[in-house]
Amino acid sequence: MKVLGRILKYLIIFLLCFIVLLPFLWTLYAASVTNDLDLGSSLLKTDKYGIDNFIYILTKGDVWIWFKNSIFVVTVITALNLLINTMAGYALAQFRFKGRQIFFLYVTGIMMIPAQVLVIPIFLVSSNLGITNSYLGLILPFIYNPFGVFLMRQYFLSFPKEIVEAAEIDGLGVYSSFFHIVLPLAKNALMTQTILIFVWNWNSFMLPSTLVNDPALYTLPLGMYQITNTQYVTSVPKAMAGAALTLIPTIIFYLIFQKKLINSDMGTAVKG
Amino acid sequence: MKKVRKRMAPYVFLLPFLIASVIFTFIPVIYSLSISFLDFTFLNPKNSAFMGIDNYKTVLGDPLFLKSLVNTLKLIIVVVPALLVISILLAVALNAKIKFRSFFRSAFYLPYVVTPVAMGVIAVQLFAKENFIVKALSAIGMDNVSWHTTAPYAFWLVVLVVVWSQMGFYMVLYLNGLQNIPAELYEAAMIDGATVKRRFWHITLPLLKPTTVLVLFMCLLSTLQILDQPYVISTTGNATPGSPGDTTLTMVMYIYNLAFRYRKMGSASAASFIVFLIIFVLSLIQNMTVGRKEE
Repeated sequence: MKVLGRILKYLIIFLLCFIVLLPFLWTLYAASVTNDLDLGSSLLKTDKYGIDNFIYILTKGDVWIWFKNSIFVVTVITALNLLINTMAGYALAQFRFKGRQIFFLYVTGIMMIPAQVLVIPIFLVSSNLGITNSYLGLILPFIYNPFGVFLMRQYFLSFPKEIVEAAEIDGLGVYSSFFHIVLPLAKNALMTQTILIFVWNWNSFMLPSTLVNDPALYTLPLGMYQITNTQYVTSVPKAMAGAALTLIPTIIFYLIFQKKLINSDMGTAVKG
Repeated sequence: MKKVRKRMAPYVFLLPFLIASVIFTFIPVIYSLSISFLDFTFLNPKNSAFMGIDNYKTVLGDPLFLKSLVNTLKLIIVVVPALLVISILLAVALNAKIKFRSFFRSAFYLPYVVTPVAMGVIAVQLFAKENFIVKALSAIGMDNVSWHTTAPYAFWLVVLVVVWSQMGFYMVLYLNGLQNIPAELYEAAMIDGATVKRRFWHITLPLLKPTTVLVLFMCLLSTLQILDQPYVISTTGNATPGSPGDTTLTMVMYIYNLAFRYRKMGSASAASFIVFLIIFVLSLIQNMTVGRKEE
C-alpha cells in the first residue's frame, strides 16, 4: 500500500512536470518539421525533420541583427544598473547624512510605481528628449532600478563597517575603498542583481516596443513578435523556430544560473 | 579637505540614481499627470486646452474601460486562487525528500524565466484548431477551434498561460516559507498519530499564513498589470488587441490602445492614473497587513 502510494506520487509529479514542459517540447518538435504545413494535425503525420526552419529564420530575416541588439542593449543596461543601483544602495546603508530618510522614501516611492503605468509617461518624455528610435531610447530609461537599490541597501546594512574603516586607515579615500575593497567583497549580491536585471530586460517587450519602430533597432522579443505574429503566421513551423530562438538564450542562461536565480528571487521577494 | 569629501560622498553616490530616476520616472509621471487634465495632441502640444477632469469622466464613462475592468476582475478571480492552490501543493510536494527534487523545482520554475512574448506565441499555436490538444478536448465535447480567435476560449487561454508562467515563482516563495516551519512540530504530530491530511491542514497551512498573505498580494498586483501575454495572444494575425470581441482586453491593454492606437494621450494618462490609484491602494493595504505581522 505504501509503495503504491509512492509510485502514485511520483507518477503525478512526473505527469505535471511533463505538462509544464510540454510547450517547450512541442515548440522544438514543431520547429523541426520541414514540410511547410499549415496546421497542427498534419504536423503529427509528417516525417521530414531538420533544422531548415532555424536556418531560414536566421539567414532570411533580421534575427541575427535583433539578437545582437538584444545582447548589446541588455549588457549596457545591466552594467549601468549595477553601478548606479549599487552606489545608491551603499550610500543609503553605510552613511549617516542629512536627508537620508527622504532619499530612502523616494526610492521606495519609485519602487511602488508599476512599470505598466510608466509606459505612457516614459514614451512622452523620451519623444520630447528626441531619443526614440535610437539605441539611447532603448537604454537610457532602463539604466536604474529602485528594486536593485533596495536589494543592495539590504545587503550593505549587514556589511561590516570595520573593513571600510581599515581601508581608510590605510589611506584609501571613500571612493577608492568602495571600488577596490567593497565591490569585490559584494560579489554575491552583485551577481544576484546582475541575473535579475538581465532577465527582466531581456524579456522586456511593451515599453521598448513603444520606443522604437525601426526594425533595425528591434530587440529579440520585438522582432520575434513581428515575425511570429505577422510574417509567418501561416507557417507554423517557421513561427515556432522563431519562438524557439527567442527562448533558447534565456533557457541557457537559466540552466547556468538556476540555483542562484531561484534563491535570489526567494530572498529578495520576501525581504522586498 | 578629506572630511568634506567624505561628507559629500553619500550625495555623490546617490547622484546618478537621482538624475536617472528624476528624468525617467519623476518628471514623466508629473508630465503625464498634467496631460491627463489637457486635450493633448501630438501634432500641436502647445495648443492643448485645459479640460479639468473631463478625461477622467470620459474614461470612467467609457463602456470599453468598464469592460476591461470586468475582464481584469474575472482574470483575478480565476488566476489568483488557482495560483495559490497550485503553488502551495507543488511546494509541499517538492519540499519532501523525493528523488530528482532539484530537477522538478527547476522545471516548474522555468516558465517564469522565459520570454512572455514567445510563450504567448507558442500558446496560440499549441491551442490552434486541429492541433492535438484541441482535438483531444473535442472528444470530451469542447469545440475544435483556434482558441485565440474564439470567445470564450481566448480568455481561458490567457488564464492558462498566466498560471503556467507564474506558478513556479510562487512555489519558490512557499518553499521558502516551508523552511521556516520547525521539523519538531511534524515529529510531534506524527507521534500523536496525525495523518498527512491533518498535518497539512493543522500545521502547514496555518504556519504558512504570512507567505500566503505575501503571495496573495503579489498575485493580485501582477494580475492587475498583466499585459504582454493577452496582448500577444489577442493580436495574432494582426487582430485588434483584446479580440475576439474585447474578451481579452485587460485594463493595462485598454490604456495601451488609447495611447498608441488612438493617440489619445490625455485620456490614456487619465486611465493610467486610475489604474495606478487602484494599485497604490492595494500596495498600502499590503504594507499595512504585512507590517503588522512583523510587529
